[in-house]
Amino acid sequence: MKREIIMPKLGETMEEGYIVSWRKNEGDRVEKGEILFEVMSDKTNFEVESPYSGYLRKILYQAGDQPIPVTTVIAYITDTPDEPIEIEKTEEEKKEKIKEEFEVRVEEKEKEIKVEEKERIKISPLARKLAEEYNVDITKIKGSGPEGRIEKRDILEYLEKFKEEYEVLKWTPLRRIIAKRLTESKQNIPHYYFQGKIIVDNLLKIKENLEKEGAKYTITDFLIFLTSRVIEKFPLIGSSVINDEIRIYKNVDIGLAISVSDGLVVGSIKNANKKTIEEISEDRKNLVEKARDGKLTEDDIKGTNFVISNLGMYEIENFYPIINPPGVAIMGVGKIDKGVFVEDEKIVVRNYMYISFSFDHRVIDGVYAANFYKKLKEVIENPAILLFKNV
Amino acid sequence: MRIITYRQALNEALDEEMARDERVFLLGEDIAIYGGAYGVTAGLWQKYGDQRVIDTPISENAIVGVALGAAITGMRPVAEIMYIDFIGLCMDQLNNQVAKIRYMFGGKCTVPLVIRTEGGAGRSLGAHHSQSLEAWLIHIPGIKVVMPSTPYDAKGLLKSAIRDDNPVVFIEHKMLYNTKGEVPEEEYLVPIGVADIKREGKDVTIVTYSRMVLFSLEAAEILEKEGISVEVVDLRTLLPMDIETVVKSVKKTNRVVIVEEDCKTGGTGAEIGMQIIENAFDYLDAPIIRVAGADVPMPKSPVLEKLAIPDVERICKAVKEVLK
Amino acid sequence: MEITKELAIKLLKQMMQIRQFEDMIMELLAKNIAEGGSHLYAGMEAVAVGAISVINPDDYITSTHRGHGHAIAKDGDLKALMAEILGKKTGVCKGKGGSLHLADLSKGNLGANGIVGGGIGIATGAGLSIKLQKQNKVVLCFFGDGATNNGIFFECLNMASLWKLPVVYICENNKYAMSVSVERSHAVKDLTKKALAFDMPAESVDGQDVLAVREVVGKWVNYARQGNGPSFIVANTYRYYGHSRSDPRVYRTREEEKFWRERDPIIIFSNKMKEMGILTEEEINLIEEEVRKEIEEAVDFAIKSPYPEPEELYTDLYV
Repeated sequence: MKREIIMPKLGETMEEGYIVSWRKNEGDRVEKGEILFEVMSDKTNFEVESPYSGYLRKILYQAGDQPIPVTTVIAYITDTPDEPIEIEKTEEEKKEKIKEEFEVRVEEKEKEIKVEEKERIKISPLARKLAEEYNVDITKIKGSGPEGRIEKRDILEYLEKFKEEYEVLKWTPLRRIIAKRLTESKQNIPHYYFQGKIIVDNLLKIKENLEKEGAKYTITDFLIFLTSRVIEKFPLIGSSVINDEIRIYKNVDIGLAISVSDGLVVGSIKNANKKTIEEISEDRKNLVEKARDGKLTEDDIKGTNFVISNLGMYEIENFYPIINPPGVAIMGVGKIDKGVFVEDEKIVVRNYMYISFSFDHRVIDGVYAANFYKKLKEVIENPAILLFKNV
Repeated sequence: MRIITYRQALNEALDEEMARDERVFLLGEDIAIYGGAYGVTAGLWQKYGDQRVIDTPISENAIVGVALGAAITGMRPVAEIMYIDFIGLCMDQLNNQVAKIRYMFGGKCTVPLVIRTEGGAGRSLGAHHSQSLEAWLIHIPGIKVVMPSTPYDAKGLLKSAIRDDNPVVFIEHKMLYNTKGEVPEEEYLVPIGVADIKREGKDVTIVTYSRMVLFSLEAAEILEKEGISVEVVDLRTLLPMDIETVVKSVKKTNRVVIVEEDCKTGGTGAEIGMQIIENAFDYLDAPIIRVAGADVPMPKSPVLEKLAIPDVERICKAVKEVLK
Repeated sequence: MEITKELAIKLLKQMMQIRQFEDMIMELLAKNIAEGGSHLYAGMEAVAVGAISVINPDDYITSTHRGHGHAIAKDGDLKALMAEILGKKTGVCKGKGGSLHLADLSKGNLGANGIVGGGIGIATGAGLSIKLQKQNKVVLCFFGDGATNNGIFFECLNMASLWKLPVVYICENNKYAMSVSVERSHAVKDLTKKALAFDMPAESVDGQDVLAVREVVGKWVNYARQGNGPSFIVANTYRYYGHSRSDPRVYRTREEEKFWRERDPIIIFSNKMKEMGILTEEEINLIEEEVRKEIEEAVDFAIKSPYPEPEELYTDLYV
């Protein structure tokens, strides 16, 4: 039987030992407890006794300078002097591999060390955290702490400075609604626009004459009156898109954009096409008053698919309003101005106004809209036509 | 409420716990007939006799070793080491045996043992009777370290320590024995490991313990008149440290001053400061400042002794410094 | 002193358990299966076995850095002890104590100790505890010759004598404190004289003769149990291995080692039992074989046992 003699671990710190001398030669008879070899450990020299009786068959490591890891087999003892033994390889190969691995690791470590060092801005941990939270560029801040350290107060001061340039307005419920509705409108409705110049000399004359008789009406009143009568013949203009349906209404209600203190509301003039100018004017006045007192009823804001928005009194020439859903068209009215026109090869001066439209292309095509405009222009420029001709 | 001294509060705690549990006994130098070097055990020998209040030879190592042997075999000893300066004489038993025995034995024993001692400067006693060595002790896992600042805390914490199944080193302060405070007649306990906010404030947090709590409160009073609002956190127990309470305060004030009587280098404040950095770094708006004992043996001269430990003025200065 | 066959088997078996246990550990250390320090009790078996054989299961002992022998003699479980030495979860201290901290409070073993003299305080405290609780127990406090030069020895023996505590202090004089001999480190060569300072009775005994140890310790245990106080026994003995495995034993001669090996406690006791006709050669061989199996089983158990889980790092520190 072959028994292994190992380099014994002779202390907690001992990793390897040196064989100082073999006290027996290969082939010698050895008794258990007899001193077999001498080892030098990290601490001192030991005489190691043989743990077995037998013959020292083979010495794998001779005495010398070579360190031998603990538990390495260093010799074999056999029961008989001549039994065959297989000899294991030494540790050389393993060592070579470890050496290579070590060199690779050293290289990697050296790479890591070569990291650039930036110039350091002194800032307290709290200030740094705040700066990150509020997205503040700390290079733009001068610290007020010792040695220029940026502290919490510096960040807050910086933020305060920005605050002075504007005032944060709280969203009112109305503004939220406006914002939401108009954003949706602009995002969801494929708007297209056009505008036209309309001569209003005749209209102004009528307005003037009525005023002389004590009946005072606004341009808006006249436009509601006239437009409602044209829409009667172009019902798509007053239609709506609700739940993916195009709804065409029997009545012609006209929505009117009314500016109030915290925004804009739209009130309805019901059955405008059936009303006299006087009735329309009365309705409009009531509506505006109610709107400014915040007293519009649900009924008042129903029927506002087609909307007239008049900014003419604010000296606006021309603008394109956003469609008021679920409606599909809106009309913007600019100021009345004097302009030079060519009529019958003669240059004449007329009063005119810009009227612009935004249409929902899903419902109204360009030609339909153009025909509607053509008719509207006709009746506005010459309201008397309504007396004799059915639009 | 009733006002009594720190000394009386401790005496009551011992008396009540001895009456409550007959396994509780006291041993130490000069604690029986003499009543203790600072009079904490006065009257207890007369009341409980030789078997429960035992005068020992001057053998600190044996006092702690013997207390340990008794603790793991069914008793609940309260040992007194007259001055914390003598703890070096029993550090082997405390560190190697008392603190480790339960762990080394895989949890198979409990060590219901209290070591009462006192420390601190202020009586012009020189280098062997004036030290603050708590930093040595908080470095020993396995024990608890308690340092009360008021009579109320002293009584409640000592009673909790005696009922604790872990070894507790209970460090009194020689300058506090005659201080007075409210202590209720009825029984109460103060839990070990829970800090106490002794004064609320919003500008700066002072973290402190033992006698320095009193100094810090005085400083806070002065600073308030200058418009500075100081919060004073009394740790009460150094091991285990209630860092949560400290962190909560730091999150509010963002600025910290640590006031400790022990030497600055390697001191308790270093541990407190580091724990704050580990747990509340992002809430600090200025470097933590320590007001600590000088790194010298405690000098005898009363003038030098005063200079060697923090005072109210230095605390005020540090608070202003941390607010700069 | 009378000796029954049953007792003879018990004493012999325990001494053999200790011897084989220690030889096995030496082998495990050399093979790097066991890690860490170890101080082996081989050669000194008669002291632990003889002394502990005269006390009751609920009496206490405190042990030393060379504590495997005491732990086995105090009814220690070989498997749990071996597992502990290998740092295994199934160890008597869950693998947290190791060779230097073998303890089993359920069997009255208040622990081995990594600090020389470390157990003397605990033993004295246990003595005080017994007295305060008016129990009829005693404490055997083991320590080496080196510990009698340590401060706590003087502090505690003084207290024990002053308070008449039921502690028998047993000094295992194995001639060397690590490498320094008694001759080179003690002003008083006869260690029993140290007890004079405490007015404590003291006696020497042949630590290789288990029956002699029984007789002397038995006498002082009775003395303590009757409330007369502590005593101091010096048992002269010898450790076969070095102080620890990393000890080349350059401070003592091979002749000296041979002298003591010839005074082997197991051989002395075996021969006596044969002479007295209490045990036969076959019976003795049978016991040895039985112990060999036990040790093999213990090693097998210990090696196959799992290490503690990482969560165990922080458990058992505080209650």
